[in-house]
Amino acid sequence: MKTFFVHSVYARWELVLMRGLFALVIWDALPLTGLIQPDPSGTGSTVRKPEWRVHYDTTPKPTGLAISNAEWVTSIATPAARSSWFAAVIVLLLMGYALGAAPIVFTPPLLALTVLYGTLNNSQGAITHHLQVVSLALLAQTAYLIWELVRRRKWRTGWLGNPADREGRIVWVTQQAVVATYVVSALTKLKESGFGWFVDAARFPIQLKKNNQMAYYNHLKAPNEADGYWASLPAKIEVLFLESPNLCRVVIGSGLVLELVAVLALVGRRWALAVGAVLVAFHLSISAVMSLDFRFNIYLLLIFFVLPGITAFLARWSIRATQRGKTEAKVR
Amino acid sequence: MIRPSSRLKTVGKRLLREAKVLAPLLVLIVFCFVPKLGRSKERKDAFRYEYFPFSHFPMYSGFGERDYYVFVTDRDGKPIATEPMTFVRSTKLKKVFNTDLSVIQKQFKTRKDLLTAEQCRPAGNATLKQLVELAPEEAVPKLRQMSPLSLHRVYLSLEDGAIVETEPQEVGTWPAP
Repeated sequence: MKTFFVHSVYARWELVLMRGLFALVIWDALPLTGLIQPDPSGTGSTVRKPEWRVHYDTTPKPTGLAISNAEWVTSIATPAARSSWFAAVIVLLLMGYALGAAPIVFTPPLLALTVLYGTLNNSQGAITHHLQVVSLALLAQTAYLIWELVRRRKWRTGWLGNPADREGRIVWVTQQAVVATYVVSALTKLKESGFGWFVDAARFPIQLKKNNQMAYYNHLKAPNEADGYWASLPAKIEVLFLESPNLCRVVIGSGLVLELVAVLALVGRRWALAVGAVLVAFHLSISAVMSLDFRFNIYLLLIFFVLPGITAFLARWSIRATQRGKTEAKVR
Repeated sequence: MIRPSSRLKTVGKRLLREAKVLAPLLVLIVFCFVPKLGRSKERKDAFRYEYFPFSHFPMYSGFGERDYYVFVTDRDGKPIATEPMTFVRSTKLKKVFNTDLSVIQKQFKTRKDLLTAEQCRPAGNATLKQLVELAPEEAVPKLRQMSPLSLHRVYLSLEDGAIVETEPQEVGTWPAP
């Protein structure tokens, strides 16, 4: 039966591309050094063995899993975890994940690693929210894979192979995990402040000033015209918003509206492209003005929302161009 | 003629179908709010609301009339660039301080901006201690040379369309007295 929210059907190459790119995002989310690193002499770059580098080995302010089981969380910072074989195993896991064969074997360990690292990171006294989206996407994938295995009851063969239908559904649950973060954020704003949030948004320049001041005390360097347009943008926006509180309400308020309507990205490829592109622009503008880290949200939006929309457009354009060429050839 | 009850049934069925399709989304939304709803009464800090990867994403869920930032100074009162020396950014420093301040705020049952410098001092001292602990080993001797380090907080508010900053208030030192 037809539904308003519908998962798209993808070509095999699109699924391979999305899976491969997401594997790179997981690599970036984990404390694993890159294959290509700058030369110590500063002259160029060299290919090096990836290393597992965790900066903390305690949980001074335990959160989440660390409250009940700090040993599990700090296990990723033990000397054994710092050894080269541990990094090699994770690279193999990522390669296995990217290849897509037997996803139920490769996805849960990657989920566990991102959750342990995220929990350790958040147990240092300062909570950040930039890694959650990667873990939530992996959690949705793992849950779907387990559910699929249980539902089909193919205990011996169900975990092998990678049928396109299952792979397409993995993309679908990943898209829902990403959308969930926006909807939750919007609901929290409405729960905490109600619709008065839109009125209070005129106080946003205080947040801008605070972030600018903290950015200054990071390096004791004030942005100036010589650093370029982007460096002086936060100060310009601050002045503009102070002069026009209503403009401030409209601009900042549109962020909440966008978070609420993010669910429309699940209507189909065109909607995914439109909503995904607007959300990417939203994150890029906030990052430029507030120096906040949204790179994982941006990566996931580009891979699972913008990319399928672009590939669909290119495929349609290619088919039309081919048909036009055939028609012209017949006329000649 | 279609009866209202049958129309309601049709709408209900349609909504159920959509909910079934969006089941992963709905389940994740509920799970993200579980740490917030099932919070422990024993813990007073903001950490009780977080269970990675589940979070209710509280960033900018409210715009208060006042907010503050913190910075660190050396023995001569000169600000220290924390990031190049300790790899700790001011935002992290503020979050660490704010977490401890939330516990103190609950003790005194007052707003954070009404807490005196002396009341804030345990949080400030703990923040600077953690800054030194998080700094790389080679940075610690330099920090010792610069000590006593002080943590200052500055409040920002909007008055007549302009942002007003309070005088920096010393809220912690390292080594703690």
